[in-house]
Amino acid sequence: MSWLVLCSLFFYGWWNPSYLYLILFSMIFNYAVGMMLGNGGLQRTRKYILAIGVAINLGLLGYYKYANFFVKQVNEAFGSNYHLDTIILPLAISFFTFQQVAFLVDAYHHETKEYNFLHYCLFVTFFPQLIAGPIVHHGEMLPQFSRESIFKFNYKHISVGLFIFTIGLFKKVIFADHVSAYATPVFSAAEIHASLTFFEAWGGALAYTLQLYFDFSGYSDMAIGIAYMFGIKIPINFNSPYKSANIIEFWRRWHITLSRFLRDYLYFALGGNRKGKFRRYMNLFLTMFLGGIWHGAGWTFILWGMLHGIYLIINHIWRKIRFEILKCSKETGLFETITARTITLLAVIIGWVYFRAETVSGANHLVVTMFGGNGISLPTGLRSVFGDKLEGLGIVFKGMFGGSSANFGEGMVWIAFLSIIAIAAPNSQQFISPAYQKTILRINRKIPVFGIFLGTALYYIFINLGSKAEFLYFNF
Amino acid sequence: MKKYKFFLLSSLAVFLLLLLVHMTILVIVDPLSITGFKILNREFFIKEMRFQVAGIINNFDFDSAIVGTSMAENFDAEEASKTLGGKFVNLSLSGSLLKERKVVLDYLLSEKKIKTLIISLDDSTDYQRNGGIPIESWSFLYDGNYWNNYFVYANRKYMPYINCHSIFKNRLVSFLFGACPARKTRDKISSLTEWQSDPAHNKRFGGVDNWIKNRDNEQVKQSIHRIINATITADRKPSHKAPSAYKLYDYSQFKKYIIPLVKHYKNTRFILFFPPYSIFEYAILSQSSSNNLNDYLNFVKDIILETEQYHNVELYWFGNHNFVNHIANYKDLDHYNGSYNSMFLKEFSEKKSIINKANYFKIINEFQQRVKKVDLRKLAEKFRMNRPG
Repeated sequence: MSWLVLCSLFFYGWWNPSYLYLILFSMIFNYAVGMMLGNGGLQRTRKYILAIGVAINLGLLGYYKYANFFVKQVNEAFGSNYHLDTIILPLAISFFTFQQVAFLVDAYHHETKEYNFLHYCLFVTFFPQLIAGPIVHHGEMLPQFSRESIFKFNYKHISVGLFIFTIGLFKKVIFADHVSAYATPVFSAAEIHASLTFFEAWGGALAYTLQLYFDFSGYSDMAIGIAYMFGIKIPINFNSPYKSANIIEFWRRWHITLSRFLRDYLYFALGGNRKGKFRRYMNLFLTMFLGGIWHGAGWTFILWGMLHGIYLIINHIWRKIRFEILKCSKETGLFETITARTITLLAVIIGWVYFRAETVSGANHLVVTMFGGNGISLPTGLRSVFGDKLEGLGIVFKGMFGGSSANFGEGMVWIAFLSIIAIAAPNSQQFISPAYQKTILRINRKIPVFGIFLGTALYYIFINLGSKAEFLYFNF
Repeated sequence: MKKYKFFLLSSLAVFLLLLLVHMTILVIVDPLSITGFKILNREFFIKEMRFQVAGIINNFDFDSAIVGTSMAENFDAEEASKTLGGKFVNLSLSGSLLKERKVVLDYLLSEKKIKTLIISLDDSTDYQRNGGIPIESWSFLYDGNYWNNYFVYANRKYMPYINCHSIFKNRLVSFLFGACPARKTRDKISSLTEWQSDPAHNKRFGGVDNWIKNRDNEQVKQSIHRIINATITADRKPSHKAPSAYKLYDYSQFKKYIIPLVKHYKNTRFILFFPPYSIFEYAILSQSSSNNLNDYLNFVKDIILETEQYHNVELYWFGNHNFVNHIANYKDLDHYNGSYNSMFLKEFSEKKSIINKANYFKIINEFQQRVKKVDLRKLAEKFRMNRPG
């Protein structure tokens, strides 16, 4: 186990050795504070210790992640000229800070056990999930480290782990990286307010919606797969989020471990739904607002968080009206389900525009274009079909695409294909469920159909690895 | 457990088998000429120079080279050989940083006895603009170890080149591996980097009207945006110098990557030239809120002072030639018409247009006066009427 801790630290230090001190300090400090809190003592003293512990964690996160942003805002607001050198964000600081804050809070509530320091180090640094999550909870990780069956060669662990890892890598290298080529030019064009067509704007927004999902869920799958090879189970992070019928459901399916953390350690801490409706909605809004800030130091992230806060409030109010006032049935028909899913997805896509854009003005420009604010242009060939009828409504026939440099002819095929996978296909978690595993092994018994599938997928990924790659969630 | 074992082993076997077939075919065709087996005759070169140059250095006989960016890609190696003597090849890497060229230069100078080396001194920065080609993805071809060169073929992008070789030029191969990307290949080394004759570039020379006609081209689009934005910036009140994320003209980059080579290879003639951008580029730099032209001129000055002590370095400045004043000679703000390279080669041979400590102030003073006279507003107005999307 100490070997795995060293490997994980080496993996972390490879990026920037100087930040090893930070993670080492963070681990030792939080373990010590956690032990102090867990060992009892005067309640008041423990409260102070917890406050200091949490403050130091958030202080470090604040300094590395938000100091530059803060100085910039002060300079812009007051015309001052304060200068702060660019602070490089230490890899994974947002993730390991959250995990350890949760540990301190639980230690305060006597919900932790006497953990071994080495186990604690592995809980924080375990390399598969260290840099981009899932955000793991000490309660689900540390007990596993004491099991004898882990870290031993096991065909089942290796096979299942490799299978899910391959799915994740495929999602990342083949799906996310390919579709990103249609998102980047559109968002770049929006930043300089270049004229984009209605369809280009939607193409870019959809491409990013799919890129983010396949990138991040692919990374989570890889983390889960590698951990599984060691015999360790880490929690799932995605459960087909674009199949959600409302925003509340979306947050139960998207970045599940972050939602869990925000709910348990922020929303509940703010009072949750125990202090009346108004406070409940305020707490929801604040939680999502802070969730937005957690994702990055920028107004676009803040707006994205606020937007989701508003979505959640509307969703809760709508539920109240629907089930308590209108007394509607909870059963939904196909039409209603499709409508609900479409509205939810549209709301999510608008949110992603703010999440991805570099500036609020760039995002606004794109959103306005998506809503026809800059006109709608249809294929020239349709002029003969619709003619003057549509031109009167401001619709022109100059082609669907034009302003951006992305090749949308091919892009639309990718977007359509990936949308079907995201909306209709089973997800990777379903693939490794016992029922699926049983089926896969049964089919694979005589003719290695799935062996061929996995081997071919691995080969295809391997020969695509040389292309440009960016992991979106490394930035958070 | 047996079922899991069978599943795992069959997956790995399929993976290894496919990889073996893939690698075998690519090693036989060897599109980059980097394996050393030479099983088939070489019939083409790939224009992606960061990858291709290693094969050229390993397999071709030459004693002089041009290692620049896109600004130097149009130098004709045969003409350079005639004018300057020796046997030239053009190994320029489009959009390259000095640190990228250092990888190639180190290998080139260690493998060949180079008489003359022409290097363009563009902006000098550590900021990786061409993020699409990470240096690690190709620098191993230049480490002197032939064995790791094979890794370059563990990549999908070389598969269509199988179809470029006459032996494999058939429909089945085209279907299986992709059609030969003929636009990305050349038959001869001499035309490998040249872009001037490509209609996509050539049609943009000739004046403002041709820029407007091609305003959807990314380079023209950027140029027009920059000209228009510069006039807006110039109208603003001067503000404090905003700290930039990276330094565009970083002299330390030059000192780090070029000077050690100059010192070490004393018998090589280093011809370093500052590519002549259009006067409008310099005017934009001078009218930016932080006056980047000063940064650029300080960069030039520092290089002159540093290289003064080395007898094997010559620095050339073409920014005071009249052709830089005319937009017709540029396809965007920076890239001049390749026909001027003949003049530059002649000046290299006659040692004209040299810039040094003695003439720096005179040359730069005159240059700055010319830059001051540029009226960007007039040009911007024309473009505003025909603003690209």
